[in-house]
Amino acid sequence: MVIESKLPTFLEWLLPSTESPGAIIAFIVMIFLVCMVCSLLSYLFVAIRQGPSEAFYTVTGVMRTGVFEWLQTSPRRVYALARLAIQEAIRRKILIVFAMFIGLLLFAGWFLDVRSDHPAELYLSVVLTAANFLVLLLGLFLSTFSLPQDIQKRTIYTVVTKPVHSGEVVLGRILGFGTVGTAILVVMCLVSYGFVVRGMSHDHIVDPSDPSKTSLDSHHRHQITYGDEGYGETDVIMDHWHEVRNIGSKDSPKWEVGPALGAFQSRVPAYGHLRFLGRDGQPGEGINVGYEWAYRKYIEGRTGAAAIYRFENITKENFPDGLPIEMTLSVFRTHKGDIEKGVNGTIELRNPDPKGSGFVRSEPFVFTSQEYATHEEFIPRTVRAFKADNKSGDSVDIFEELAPDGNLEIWVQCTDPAQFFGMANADVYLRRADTSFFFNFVKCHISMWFQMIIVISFGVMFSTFLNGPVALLATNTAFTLGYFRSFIAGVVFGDIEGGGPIESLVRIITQNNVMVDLDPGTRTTFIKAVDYLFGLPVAGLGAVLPNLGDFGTSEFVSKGFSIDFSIILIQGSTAFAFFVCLSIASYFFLKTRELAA
Amino acid sequence: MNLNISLTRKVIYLCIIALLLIPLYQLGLPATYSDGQLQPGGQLAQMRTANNLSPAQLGEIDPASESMKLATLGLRGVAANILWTRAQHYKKTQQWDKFSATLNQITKLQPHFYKVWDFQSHNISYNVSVEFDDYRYRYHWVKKGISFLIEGTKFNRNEPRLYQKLGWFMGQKFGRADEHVQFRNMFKDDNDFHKELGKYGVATTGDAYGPEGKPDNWLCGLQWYEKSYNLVDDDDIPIRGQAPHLFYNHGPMSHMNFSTAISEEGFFQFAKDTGWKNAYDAHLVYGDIEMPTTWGTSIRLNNYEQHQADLPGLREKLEKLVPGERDKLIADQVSILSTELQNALEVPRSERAPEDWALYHEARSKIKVTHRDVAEEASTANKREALETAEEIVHLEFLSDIIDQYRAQLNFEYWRTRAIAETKQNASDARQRLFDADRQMKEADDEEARINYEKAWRLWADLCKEYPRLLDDTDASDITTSLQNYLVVLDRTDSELPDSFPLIELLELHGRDLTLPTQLRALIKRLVDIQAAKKAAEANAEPEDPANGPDTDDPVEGEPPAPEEDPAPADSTPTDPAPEEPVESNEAPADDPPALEAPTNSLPQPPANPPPVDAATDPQPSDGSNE
Repeated sequence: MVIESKLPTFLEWLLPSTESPGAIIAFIVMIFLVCMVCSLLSYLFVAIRQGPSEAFYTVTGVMRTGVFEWLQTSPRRVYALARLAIQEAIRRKILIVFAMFIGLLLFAGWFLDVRSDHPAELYLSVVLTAANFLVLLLGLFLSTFSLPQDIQKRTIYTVVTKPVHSGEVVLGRILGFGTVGTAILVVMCLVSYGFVVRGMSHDHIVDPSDPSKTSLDSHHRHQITYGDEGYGETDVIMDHWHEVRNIGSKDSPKWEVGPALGAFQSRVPAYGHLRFLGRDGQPGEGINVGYEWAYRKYIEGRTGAAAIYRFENITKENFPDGLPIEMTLSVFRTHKGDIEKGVNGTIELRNPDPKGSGFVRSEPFVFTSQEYATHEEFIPRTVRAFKADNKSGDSVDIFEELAPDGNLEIWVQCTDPAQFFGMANADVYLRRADTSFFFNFVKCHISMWFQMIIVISFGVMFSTFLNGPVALLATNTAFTLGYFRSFIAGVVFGDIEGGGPIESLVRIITQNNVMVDLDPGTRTTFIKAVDYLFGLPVAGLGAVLPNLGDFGTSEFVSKGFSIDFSIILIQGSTAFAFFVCLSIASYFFLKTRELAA
Repeated sequence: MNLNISLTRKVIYLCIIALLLIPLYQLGLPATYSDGQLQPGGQLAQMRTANNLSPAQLGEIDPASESMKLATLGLRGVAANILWTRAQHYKKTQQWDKFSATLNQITKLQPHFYKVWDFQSHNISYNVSVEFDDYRYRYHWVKKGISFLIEGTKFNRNEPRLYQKLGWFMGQKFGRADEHVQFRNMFKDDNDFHKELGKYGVATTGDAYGPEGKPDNWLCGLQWYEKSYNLVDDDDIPIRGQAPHLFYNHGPMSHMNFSTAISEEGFFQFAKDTGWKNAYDAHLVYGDIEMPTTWGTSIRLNNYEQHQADLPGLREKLEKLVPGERDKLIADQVSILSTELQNALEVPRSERAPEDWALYHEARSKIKVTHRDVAEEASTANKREALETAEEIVHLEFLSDIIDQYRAQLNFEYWRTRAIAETKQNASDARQRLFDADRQMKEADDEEARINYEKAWRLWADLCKEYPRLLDDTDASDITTSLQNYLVVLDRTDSELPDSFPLIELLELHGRDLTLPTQLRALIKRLVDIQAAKKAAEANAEPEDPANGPDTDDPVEGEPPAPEEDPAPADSTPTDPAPEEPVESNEAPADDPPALEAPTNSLPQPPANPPPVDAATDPQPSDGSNE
C-alpha cells in the first residue's frame, strides 16, 4: 500500500518534540559536521603539499574568506555562470535525453499490457518511472563531467581569473544544470500527462438491438444500468466507467456513451490506527490464514473477532455529508459456501469514549465483500445509535453523539461463519476529499525535481576534486549506499542471514547456506570482526546519504491517492538541506584545490 | 629496430585476426535469400535450420521482443532471472497486475521457451484465479491464462504441448473447477471470447457447439487437442513429455466429459444421440491408433479383444499338436519338489492354513512350464508347427499384457463400456429420472422424488446387469450425489433403504467414498451382510461341483500364482468381489487354464524406464485450486 501509517505534518517533522529531535536540529548538526569534515579534509590535503602549519593558516583563511565570500555572493555572477552551464549542457546535446523519453513513449505500446485490469495505473507507473530515471541520469552526467572537463581543458581559468568566488562557481553550476533539468522535466511532465490521458481515452457505442451493454473497444465492454429516463451508467471495468445518455427520442432512443470517468483519481485519504479483537472478543493480533505474505491479518466470521480502526479529526468540517468509507478487504473461505455470493460483513461506528454522550455504537451496516477492488460504503451523518442500556436506538448525528471529540472507531466484522476477512492498516480509510489529478501529477514531478537537485549537488561536489568518470562512480555509489542503507545496516548488525562480504565468500567456498551457523572458533570470530569493522563506516555513511527511494511518489499518483503537501514540504526541506551542505562542501574542496594549485 | 619489431608484431596480429575471421565467417554467416533462393548460410545457421531452432521456424518474430533482447546487451538470461524472481514476489504480495505485466516482459525476453508459457499460464489460470473470491474474477483470470497460452502458440507454432495445455485448460478448468457450473455458463455466453478463439479456428464451427447451440468448453478444448494431433500426425512433430496413449486419450475423453456434463445439465437426449455416440466413435478411432510403447513394440488398444479371442484357438492347437505333454511336464516338475511342497499343493483351498498358503505359493513359483517347453516335446513331424504356434501364443500374450497395462492406466474398458451403455434408452431414462428426482428433492417434493429415485435405481440395475463394468470403477461415483439425496429423501419420508435395493453392489463398491452419516453406513453394511448371507445360503443349498472346488488354485490346472490373494477365505465380505463375477473371470486373461506362464515372467522388462505415466503430469507450480 502507498501509506502504511499516519504521516507527520511538516511542523511535527521539522520541530523538536518528545518523540524526535526534529529535522531542524539534524540539519544544524549536519551543517556543522560538514564544515568540520571538509575543514579536516582540506587541511590534510594542503598539509601534504605545504606542511601542517601552512595548511592551518590556509584552511582558517578559507573559512574566514568563505564567510565573506558567501556574504558577497553576487546573483548576477551566479546567473552568468548558470547561463554558461546551460549553454554547455545544450552544447553537449543533452536534449537527447528528451528524445529518448519520446522514443520510449512512442514504443511503450509494444511493451505494455494493453489488457491490464488497471491500465491507468500501469501507464502512470511506466511514464513516471521512466521520467524519473531519465532525469536523474541527466543530472548525474551533466553535473559530474562538467567541472573536471573545464579543469582538464583549463577553460576554468577563463572563469577563475575573473572576480568570481568559488562558491559562485558551484552555485552557478548547480543552478544552470538544475534549470536545464527543470525545463526537460516540465516538458516530460506535459508530454507524459498527454500520453496517459490519450492512452485511456476511448469510445464505446451502444447497439440499439442490445442496449444492455456497450461495444467492445480497447479490449473491454461495459454493462449498462439505466436509471432515470434518458440516463444510464456503465459498470466499472478497467478502473473507469461511462455515463450513457439518450440523445434520441423517448420512443426511439439513441444512446451516447460519454468519455471514460474515474480512471484518474486523486483521493485524499484519512487513515486510522488498526487493532484486532480475537474470536473471544478480547484484544488479539488477527489470524494468519497461511499466506506467506503476512501483510494482512484475518478475522473469523460470526465470532467476537473484529478489526477496529481508530480515527482522529472526524469532524463535520472534514466530512460535511457523512463518512465515505473505502475498503480493500481480502477474503478467505474455509468452505465454498455459496459460490455466487460474496462473504458478508458489517461496519459499526463506535464511540471510543461514550461517557459524554452515552451513545456507544451505531447500527451495523451490512456489506458484501469485494476483493482486489475498492469497496465504497457511505455512512450518512444521521444514523441509528444505541446507548449501553438502550435496545431500540435513537437517530443521532455522528459528529455530535458518536465522535463528539473527533475520535471515532470503525469496527469491521465478518458475519459468515467459518469465513474470514483479512485487512491491514491501509485497507480501510475515509475518503476526505478529491483533488485535481493534474495537480497531483505535477506534485509527483516536483518530487522528481528534488531528487534531481540532490543528484546535481552531489555530482558537482564530487566533480570539484575528482575527475569525471570517478565523480560519476562516486555519485552513483553515494546513492546506492543511501538506497540500500537498511540492507547494509542489516548486514553489518547481523539482522540479515549470511553475514558480510567476507563471511559470504567463505560460505560460498565452503558451500554453507545462509541458515547454517559457521563453526564457532577463532576463524569465524575473525571473519565476523573484519566484516563488522569494514561494514560499520559503510553503514554510517549510508545512514547520512540520501535515500532517493524516500522521494518516490509515483505510486501515490498511479494508485489514485493525493500526495500530501507535508510530503512535498518534507522532501523539499530535505533537498534544500542537502543542497546547502553539499554547496558548502563543494566550496571547501574547490577552494582548497584552487589554493593548492 | 624497435619500430620494426612493433610493426611486425602488429602485422602478425592483423594476419591472425584475418585468418580467424575465415572460420568465424564460415560458422556465423546468416541464412539469406538471394534471387528467391535460400542461401543456407554458415554452419550455425544450417544447424539452426536442421534442428528447427531459428526464430522464424519456431514462430512469429515480435519486434518488441527483439528490441528487448537487444536492450539487455547480452544479459538476457540475467534479466529473465530477475523478472522471474520479481514475478514470484508480485504473486506472493498479491499484486496481480504487476505480476501479469512482469510475465508479459518475461515472454518478450524468452518467447520461444516453452516452459515460460506452460508454467506461467498455469500460474495465472489455476493459482492466481483462485485467489479471487468472486467467481467472475476467477473466470476472467482463467481466461487470461488461456489467452496467455494462445499468445505462446504464436511464438511456438510447432509445440503440441501448448495446444494440449489449451485443450486441458479449456476443458478441465472450465469444466471441473468448483465453479464449473458458473464457468460453463459464462463460457457459453462469452461471445467476445468466442471471437478471440475464432481467430484460431476454435469455437466457430458446429463441432464446438453444445445442445443449446452455443460453444461448449469441452468441445472447444477438443478442437485445441485436435490441433496438437494435426501437428504430430501431419507435420511429424514429436510428442514431448507425454506418452502417446495419454496424448491421444484427451480427444475421446473430451467427448466423454462433454456428454457427462450435458447429462448433468439435463440434455439427456442430445447426450444419448450425439454426445455419447461421438464419444464412442472417437474412442474407437483412438483405440485403432498405432502407438509405440516403452517395450519397443507398437500396440493398438482395440486389439486386446482380438488377441484374447485368438489365444484359446492357438492354445488348443498347441495342445492338439502336443497332446498331454503339458500335464506331464507339470507332473515332472511337481515330482521333484520336496514332499512338504507337494503336500501343500494337495491341500484344498478352503482348508489351507496361513502357513499352507506360503508353502503353496512357493511350490507354485517353482513350477514353470512355458509354451516353448511344451512345443519342444512335440514329435518331429509336428515340432516346427508347434514351435511356431508357441511363439505366436507368447507374442500375443505379450501384446495382450502390454495393452492391458496401458488400458488400465486409461480406464479404457470402463469408458468404452460407458460410451456404449449411455447410448441406450435405459441409461438416458435413468439419468432423466435422477435429474428430476434431484430437482424434486431440492423442492422438497419428497414423495415424487422417492418414486423417481426408485425407478431410476431399477433402470440402473438393469443397465448394470447388461454392462457390469459400469459399476466396477470409481468413475461410477457420478451417481453417488443422487444416492445421497435419495437417502435424505428416505429419511424425510420416514422410510428405510429396502432390503431389495437394486444397487447394493454399487454401494458396497463406492459407499466408502461417500460422506454418509454413520447410521447410513451401518445400514449399507447391514444390507451387504444380508445379501452376502443370502448368497452363502444359496451356495450351501446347491451340491458342490468337484471341478470348482479346491482345484481352482491347483497349479496342475494351469492357473498362474496369485500371491496377492487374501489368504483368509473365510471373510464374508471380501474387499474385492470382482474376481467372483463371471464376466470378470471371462475378461481376465490370466485366469485362463493354460496360462502357466505368468505374465510377469513372460513379459520382458522395459528397456529404459517404465511406461511414462508421470510424463503426463508435468511438475506444475503449486496449485491452490481444488481440481
